[in-house]
Amino acid sequence: MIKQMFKLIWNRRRRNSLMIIGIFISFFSLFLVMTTINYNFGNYLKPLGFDYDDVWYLSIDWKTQDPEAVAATLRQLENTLDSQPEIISHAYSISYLFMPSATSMDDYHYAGKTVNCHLFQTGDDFPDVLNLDIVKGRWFGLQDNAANHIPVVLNKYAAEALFAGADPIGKIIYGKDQDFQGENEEFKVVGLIDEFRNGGEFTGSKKVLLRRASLENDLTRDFLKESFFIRILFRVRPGTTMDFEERLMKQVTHVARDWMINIDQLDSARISANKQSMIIPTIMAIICGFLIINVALGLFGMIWYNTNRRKAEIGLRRAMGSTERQIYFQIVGESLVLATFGMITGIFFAVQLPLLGLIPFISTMTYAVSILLSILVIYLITIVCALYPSNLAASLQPAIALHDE
Amino acid sequence: MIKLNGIEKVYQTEKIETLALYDINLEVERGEFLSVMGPSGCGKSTLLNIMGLLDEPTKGKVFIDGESTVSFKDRKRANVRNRKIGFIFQSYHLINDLSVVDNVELPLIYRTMSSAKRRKRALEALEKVGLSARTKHFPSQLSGGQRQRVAIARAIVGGPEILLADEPTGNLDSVMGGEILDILNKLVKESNTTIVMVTHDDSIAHQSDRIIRLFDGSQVN
Repeated sequence: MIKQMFKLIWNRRRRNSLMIIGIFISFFSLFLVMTTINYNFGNYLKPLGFDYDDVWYLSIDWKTQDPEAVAATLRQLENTLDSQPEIISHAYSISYLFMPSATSMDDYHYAGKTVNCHLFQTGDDFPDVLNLDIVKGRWFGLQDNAANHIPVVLNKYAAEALFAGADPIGKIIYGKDQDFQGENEEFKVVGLIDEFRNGGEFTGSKKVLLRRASLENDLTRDFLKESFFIRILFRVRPGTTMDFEERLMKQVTHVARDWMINIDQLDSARISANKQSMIIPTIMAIICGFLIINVALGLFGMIWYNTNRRKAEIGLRRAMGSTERQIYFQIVGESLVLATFGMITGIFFAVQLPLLGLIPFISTMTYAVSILLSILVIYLITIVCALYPSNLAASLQPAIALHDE
Repeated sequence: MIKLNGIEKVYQTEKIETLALYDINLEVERGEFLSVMGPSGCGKSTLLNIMGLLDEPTKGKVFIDGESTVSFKDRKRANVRNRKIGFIFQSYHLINDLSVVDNVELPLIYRTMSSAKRRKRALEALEKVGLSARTKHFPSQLSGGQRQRVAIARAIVGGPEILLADEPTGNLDSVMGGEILDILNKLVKESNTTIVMVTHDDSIAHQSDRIIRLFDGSQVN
């Protein structure tokens, strides 16, 4: 019976071609949405690599061009933060923390290998502020004040890409100097961290390189030249209220009179980042939803129309010994076969993505799960669309159906 | 083989009640070739549909092989239609998107049977009606007579004891009609099949064992 269903649909493929194309487009769109959702959901389940609770930050923007004046004011700000009993620790963060659409990347070289890493500049107490685990080596500290090389910390993905499993600690890599001009500056790897997904819960893992941002060494104070995305992160004691924000604001604006300063919580930035990450998937889901509704309506109409047109055939099948139930499953089954034809084309195109590695950061497993889920959804929609026409077909009186030409 | 007791069929719409059959009592013996005649609209096809369990009488009982069909549920009725009854229609009722052999296999797909066995039996049935050379053709590639022979092959492929033919020669010229009748006669002789045939044509009806006539839903002889 199943074989005959396939034969029938195959022989009627020209008549059904529009619907098969519709199912193919729906399947492929659904597959793209599912892949995006799966990718985001998979990311959501992974650890961020740091802790954002009770972390606040000062966003600062100075107008003066004199680095010494900037450094002097920053020192005063550091002292102000040190003097607050509510603040446990603070650190510079010249990075795109919870800003998924912004990025700063650079090439780093080791033994003929070039790896593009996401670049961050952070202060000495950065791990304390964000509860960042150092897997190997150490973080930046006073011992780097007299260092000849710029100290860097890598995350595991950057280390793996550069050193392919070898111990990264102490290795010298090459990249752009502090003016980001040449590519001969030497960087010494001093530490290794695990995960560091700065873009938020929905963003993927990246190769990350963290450089020291400190006023104490000429090699690490290049951040004074421009005030892009400079933040001072600080961890407050649990239960610190918003009154503190007001008091702190008064003090820091008193210290840095001409600067633009804002205080915010890292959690708010995270929520905003997550919303931003979901914009594209949401738009895709809405478009896909409309497409699926269209196809569902089309499918329903076509099954209904076909069922009405095939009344005599239904009557014949009843005369040949088909039960009502078998007619019901015949119509549902044919609709599923039709969907299968549409999806076979869709699957052919879908598997090209992992085979050709067109989006390298999405795993084959994510694609496989997305294909499976898309198949399930399309079959489910098809079954729902076929239920009513199948029921009508099954309840046809065979004698009446046979006389419907 | 088939026994009808006090069969009455009323078609009811919102405004009109039509009496299609009234007090039909009839018995058809095994291996008998019976013709049902009468003017258009006298209830011949309705009678055939009731005999073939495609329709239910408003009143009365249908017995097949001595068993009353009144209490038959859909599954049992479908099983009787599939195993015991073969249908031949005036307009052939072939599925145009299936090949000749696939059309003939149709009753067998509702049985538990391997596809190889199904194919074998369909080819045998086609051989019986002289269409072995047309198995891969589609109905649209056949003449009217050939289509009706396909329909006969489909009707006999399951080895039914009863053949119900609703004007099987109605759409054919006399030569083709004669061929179809020859096949039906051969079936009666060779496999003792019971045939009930509805026809308008006296000359065709007279080739059967017995003729009954209907008029306005009632049996007149």
